[in-house]
Amino acid sequence: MLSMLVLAEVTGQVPEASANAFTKITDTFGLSLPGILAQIFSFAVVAFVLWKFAFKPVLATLDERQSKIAEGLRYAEETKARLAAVQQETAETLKKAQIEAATIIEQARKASKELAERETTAATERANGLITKAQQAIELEKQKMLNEARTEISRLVIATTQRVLAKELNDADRSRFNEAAARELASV
Amino acid sequence: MSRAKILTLLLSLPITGLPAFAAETGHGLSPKAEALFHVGPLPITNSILTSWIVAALLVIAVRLFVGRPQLVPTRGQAVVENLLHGMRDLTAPIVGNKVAKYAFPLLITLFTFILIQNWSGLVPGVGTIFVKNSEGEMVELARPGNADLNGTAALAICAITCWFYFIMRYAGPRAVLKDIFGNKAQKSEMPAAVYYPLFLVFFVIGIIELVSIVFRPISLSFRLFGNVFGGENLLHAMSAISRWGLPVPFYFLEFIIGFVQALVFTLLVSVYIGLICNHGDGEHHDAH
Repeated sequence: MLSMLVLAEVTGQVPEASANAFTKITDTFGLSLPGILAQIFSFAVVAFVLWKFAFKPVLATLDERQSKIAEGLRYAEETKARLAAVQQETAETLKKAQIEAATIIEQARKASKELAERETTAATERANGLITKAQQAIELEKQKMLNEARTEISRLVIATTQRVLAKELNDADRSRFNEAAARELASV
Repeated sequence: MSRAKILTLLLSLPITGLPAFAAETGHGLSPKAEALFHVGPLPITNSILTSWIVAALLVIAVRLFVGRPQLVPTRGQAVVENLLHGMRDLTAPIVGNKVAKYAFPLLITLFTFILIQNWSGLVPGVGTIFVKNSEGEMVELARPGNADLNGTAALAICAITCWFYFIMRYAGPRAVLKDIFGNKAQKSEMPAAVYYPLFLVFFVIGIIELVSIVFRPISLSFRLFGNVFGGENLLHAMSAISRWGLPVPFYFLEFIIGFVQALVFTLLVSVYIGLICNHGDGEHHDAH
């Protein structure tokens, strides 16, 4: 149709067979090459201006926003994954720390038990030593006391004998009485 | 009834009344646009004048809506963004990912231009105000751009020219010829005695396809023109019958038809591009 319009516009002639139908259409609907060209020009200008100064910048903004959203989502996913990893790491560290703490407590308990046992044994030994020493000291004191008592008793025996007999005993008598008193006291 | 609905009805009545005042009672709209004046050899018809004014208003409106695009959009920018996003999601699967980016400027501008031209018939005064032209005849001052076959033919020629560019640029002449005339049967799935005669069958089908391709701009232009012109006539007729109230439902009808026709035109152009360019990766690999 356009070619026929161009032909008609340029040469003023169209093929005879389709001339009538074509003329009828163009006359009825007012088709003309200048009219079509004017409308093509209008559309082309509007399309260019709309695309260049309105739609293209908006689309660029849309794409930028979409990339930012995608970036944000990716970052959120990464953060989520990092958080999960950190949480897992924390849980593992906590678990490890708990195990270590339990081990340390066990070791401490064991060490304290050993120390207590050792100290008890040492204390017992020390106490036994003290008791032994005390017993020895008591025994020594007792012997000393007994010796002193024997000496005093011997002196008293000699003094008593001298008064009873009313005579001064010589050294041999004193020695004999002393020995007799010592012999008698030794059995006490 | 909500306040918005009441307001719409109140506004609709005087709007529909305007054409009723000016319409030629009982006289349908002329199928051809009338020249208002001439600029050199170019007759400036009422449809050309209307399409220029409407197109200028469209550009200004979109620029005002968009302003300087920002990452956090304003309300106007969001409207335009939704339009762009919706159209891109609608047309991209049809034309194919390979061509979608390049065909989108054509498709979105075709859609918005046709939509606004279709709806221009609903504006008070368009098709209803008469003036004397340079030859002294009383003609309509404004007429919807798509109610003139010159306008729809121009759009169809633009669309088909771009379609031809896209298929040659992104599919190539060989693929185009193969798509139209090639044997689409699978050689491995049938005996040679059946396969080779199919070349002739598909060649004849290709010739039929070629005829249909030649008629595409004609069907595109006449479909759009017919719908918009028919709608204008309907509004005139309804206004002639009753000046008040009766045209209201038809204004809503034309509002929907204007949108649907813009969408149909755009989707058909998308389909025409997609038929040649959108074969999918699987088929492309199979062909090799």
